[in-house]
Amino acid sequence: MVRGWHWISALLGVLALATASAQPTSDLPGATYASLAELPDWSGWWGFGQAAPDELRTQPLPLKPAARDAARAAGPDADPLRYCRPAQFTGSNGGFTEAVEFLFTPGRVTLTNERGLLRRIYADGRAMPTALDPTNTGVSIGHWEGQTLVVETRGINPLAPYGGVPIGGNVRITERMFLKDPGTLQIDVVTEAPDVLTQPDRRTRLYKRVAKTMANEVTWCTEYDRSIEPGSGRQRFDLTPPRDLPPPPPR
Amino acid sequence: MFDAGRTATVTGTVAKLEWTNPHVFIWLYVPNAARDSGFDLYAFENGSPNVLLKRGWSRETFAVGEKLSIAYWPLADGRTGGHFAVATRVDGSVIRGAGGPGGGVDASDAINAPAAPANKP
Repeated sequence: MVRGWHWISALLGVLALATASAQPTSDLPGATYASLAELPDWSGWWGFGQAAPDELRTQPLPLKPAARDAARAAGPDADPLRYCRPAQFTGSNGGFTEAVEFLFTPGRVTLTNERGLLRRIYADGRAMPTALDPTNTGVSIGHWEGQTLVVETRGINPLAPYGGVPIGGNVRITERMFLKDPGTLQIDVVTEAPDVLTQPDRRTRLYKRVAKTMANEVTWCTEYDRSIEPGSGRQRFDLTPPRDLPPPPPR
Repeated sequence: MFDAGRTATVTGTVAKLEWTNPHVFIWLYVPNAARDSGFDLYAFENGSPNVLLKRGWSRETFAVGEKLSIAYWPLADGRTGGHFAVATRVDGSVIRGAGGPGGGVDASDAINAPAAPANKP
């Protein structure tokens, strides 16, 4: 009996050490309310001036042939995979139609946009979990290098759309976010998606401050959408008149 | 879907401004004596409410019954509609839309505004 307790005590000790090493560290930048003031000013709303299809036209993804053919078959503007799905992160935080905001709380940066994207970036010293269940935004672990937030994201849903194809497994996205100047937030993104890319995709996005103080919801999933076919998610132009049109003017 | 290579212009009266996600639509009665009804009903797709808000629009930008001339990128299949580019009111003021085929949010900036419609029934 005494021998058994000895082993249990030893096991508890090991567990205590392991737990301690995973605890957030309070001396990291932004780990406490007081130290949040040392972080850069990313307050307000941020916009990115290029729609995703336009960005991909000017800077195509290095897709593998099979993925490239599938993306072409989907069409340049249609993204049927995306229609009426929850917001998913595959390297872009939006910013064209939907403005982006960054919320700083101790040990964490929360990134949201007006289309419902919600990313919790843990910057409290914890390590990336080894076992990850695929989710719509993955798991994001960040740390501050001076005034630059470096974020690694893994555990992304392999079915999440990426340039017209599912992004696949074993995805790793690394972002470096920093103020290029007080009105410009630069995000350098490296996307490793070995199932669909021939090499890591590298791109830089420059976000500008948007003069707004309140969110305006942006959604592609509406009760009746005359510009997108609900079944396939493809673009259309439904000319069925609204029911409540007034009569035409007299001739 | 839209003919990016050309724009067309029609003049009519506003039937409705549909302030909906993901695209705002403007409906316009356009006189056509060849039709029994005396008009064609045109629909113009526009940017999203959020993008249009940033360009000065609101759900009240156009009133029902207001006369407008609208320049637009026509539907490639010839139906009465297209993507909104720019409208001119009776008083000559110009309202620019958002987006367009093959262009960014400012695509309509390159399109000439149509002449103001005559202020008569």
